[in-house]
Amino acid sequence: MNASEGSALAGVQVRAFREGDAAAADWLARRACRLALRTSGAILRSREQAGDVAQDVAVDVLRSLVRLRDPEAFDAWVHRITVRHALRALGRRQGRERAETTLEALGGAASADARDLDLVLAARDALSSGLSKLPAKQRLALALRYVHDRSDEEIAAALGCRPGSVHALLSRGRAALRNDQSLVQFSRAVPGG
Amino acid sequence: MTMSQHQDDPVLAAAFAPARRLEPTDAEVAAVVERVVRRRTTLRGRRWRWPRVGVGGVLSALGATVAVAVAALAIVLAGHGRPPSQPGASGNVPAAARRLVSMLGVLRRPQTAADRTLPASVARILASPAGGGRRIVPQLTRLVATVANRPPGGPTPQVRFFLIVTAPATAPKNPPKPSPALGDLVSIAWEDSAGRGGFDAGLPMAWLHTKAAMRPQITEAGYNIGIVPNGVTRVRWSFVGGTVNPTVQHNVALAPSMRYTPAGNGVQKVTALEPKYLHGVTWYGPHGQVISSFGAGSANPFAAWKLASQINLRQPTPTPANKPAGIAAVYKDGTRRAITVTARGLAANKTGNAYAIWLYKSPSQRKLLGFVNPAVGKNGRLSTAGSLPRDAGNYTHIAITLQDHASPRFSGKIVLEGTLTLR
Repeated sequence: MNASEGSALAGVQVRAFREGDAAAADWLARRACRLALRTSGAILRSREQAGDVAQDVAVDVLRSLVRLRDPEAFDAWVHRITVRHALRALGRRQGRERAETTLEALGGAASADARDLDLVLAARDALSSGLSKLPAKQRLALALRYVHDRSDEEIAAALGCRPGSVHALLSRGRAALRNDQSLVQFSRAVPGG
Repeated sequence: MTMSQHQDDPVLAAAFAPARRLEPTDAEVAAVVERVVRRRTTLRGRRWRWPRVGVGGVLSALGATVAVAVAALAIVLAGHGRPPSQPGASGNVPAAARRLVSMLGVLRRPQTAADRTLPASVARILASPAGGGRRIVPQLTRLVATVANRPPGGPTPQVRFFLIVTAPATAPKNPPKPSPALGDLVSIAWEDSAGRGGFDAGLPMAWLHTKAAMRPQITEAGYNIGIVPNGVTRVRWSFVGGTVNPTVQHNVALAPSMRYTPAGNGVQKVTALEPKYLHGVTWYGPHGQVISSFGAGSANPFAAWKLASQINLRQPTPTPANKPAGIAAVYKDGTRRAITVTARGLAANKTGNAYAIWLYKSPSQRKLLGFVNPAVGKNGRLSTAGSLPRDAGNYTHIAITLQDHASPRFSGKIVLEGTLTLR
C-alpha cells in the first residue's frame, strides 16, 4: 500500500469512526500508533519511550478526530501531533537520561544466521550515536524523510516551517551524520552503501 | 534494497530501516482504545457551565479560600521536622504491599504507559484455578526488560518481561501456590511479539533473600531471569557449562540460557546454561561485597567435571521448514562420563509418544540411554542429562528418536543424530 492509497483508506476509516464504527477506531488507533512509533523509534533510543509517545499520540488523535477537517489528511495530521509529542519527549531527555534502558545488546549471543539482526543492531547503534548530536528538529526532519518517505512540503507541514527550512535541516542533518564515525563504519557493512 | 521516492542516501535509508519495521503491539493499541473509551464514558453527559454567582456567593467563596489557606499552613507547620515519607510508597499502593515496595526499588518509580501493557491473558490465567486463583495488583506491574530474541531460529524478535505482584484470592477453592498465608507473591511474566507468554510461580516477600529467590527461572523465550532485592548490583550464576554474569537492573537479573561462541571455520559452540545445571549463585553489593551466596567453590558437586566433547545434532534428512537442531555435550570426571542434550524446533509430544536418546552404531547395535522427561512442549525445546555407560565407545552415533511405545524398542524414527566423540 503506497502513501496515497493509505491516505484514501485512512479517510474512509475516519468517516466510519465519526459514524460510530468501533472497528474503525481500532484501525485508526493502530495506524496512528504505527506512524508515531516509527518516527519516535527513530529518534528516541528506547522502544518503551517510543511506545509511550506513540500511545500518547494515538490517544490525542482519537480524542480530537472530530476536529480534522480533511479526513484524507489523517497521516499528515498524525505526523504533526507526533512532532509535538516527540519534541516534548526529547526535551525531557535533555534533563534526565531515563533510567530504563533496553537490554537488546544482552549477552553477546551472536549466531551464524543472525546477520540481519546484527545489521539491525548496528544500524540502531550507529544512528543513536549520530542522531544524539543533532538538534531535535533535524532529527525529526530526517526521520520523516527516511522512515516515512515524506516530501519537503509534507515535512514542512508537520514541523510547522517553510519547505526551504526543511531543505536546510535535511542538508545539515545528512552532512553531520555522514561525518559521524559510527555511521561511516556502518556504511561499509551496507550493501551498496 | 529498494529506494523510495524521496530518499537519496542509501546509507541513511539503511540506517533508518529498523524504524520502518516497527509495529505497535496489540496490547499498545488496546491500551490506546481503552484510554479513549474510558475518558468518553467518564465525561459523557457532563457539560461545564459557568455558575451564576451573586455577592453572597463571592463572599462565601472568599471565606472558603481563606479557610483552605489557613488549613494548609497549619498542615505545613505541624508536619515540619518529621522524616520524609518513602518515595513512591504513596496512597495508591495497597497497605499489605508496602513492605514489598520497600524491598524492590522498581516498584517505587511511577508507572508508565508501557508498564500497563501487560497482556490481559496473563491476568485471566492467574485468576483461573490453574493459576492459583490469584489476582494481579495493577499498580505494581512494571516493565523491567525488553530483549531481542537472538538465539538462532528464534521465532520472534522481541520479548518483554514484566515484574508483577499478585494477591491471594480471598476464599480459594483451590489452594493458591504456595500458600495464601504467605501473602503477596512477586512474579515475572513475559510476552513475545507473537503474543505468546507465561509467568513463573512467584515468590513470597519473605523469601526474597533466600536460596529459592536466588535460583533463576528459565523462560520459553530463551532467557534465564531472577528477581533480586534492592542492594544487589551484580549477580553471578555458576552453571556446569560455565559462569554467567547476568545484566542486573530494575530488580531483575537477566541473561540468555544459551551461549554461542565461535569455534573456528564458521562453527558455533553452543553451551546450555539452564537452571537444571545451576550449582551456585552469588549476589554482590555495590562495593563488590558478597551479600548472599550458595553452592559455589568446593561444594560444587560438578567442579571436577570437564567438558570432553561437543556434538552437533542434525536431522538425518534436512527439511527446510522448522528445522530442528540440537547439541550434546560430553563431560568427563576420571573414568566417569556424563552427557547433556539440548535441542530445539522439535514437534511437541502427544499422548502416547516420547522422545528417547540412543547410542547407535547400526539398527541392530544400539543402546537406550533413556526417555526424555519432562516431555517436549509447544516451544519445541528438549533438555535432558544423564550418565554415559562405560561401553559408550562401542557406538558411533548419538540419536534422538520419537517413540510410540513404552518398551525400549528402537522405532527407527530418528529426529536428530550426531557423531559420537568422547575425547
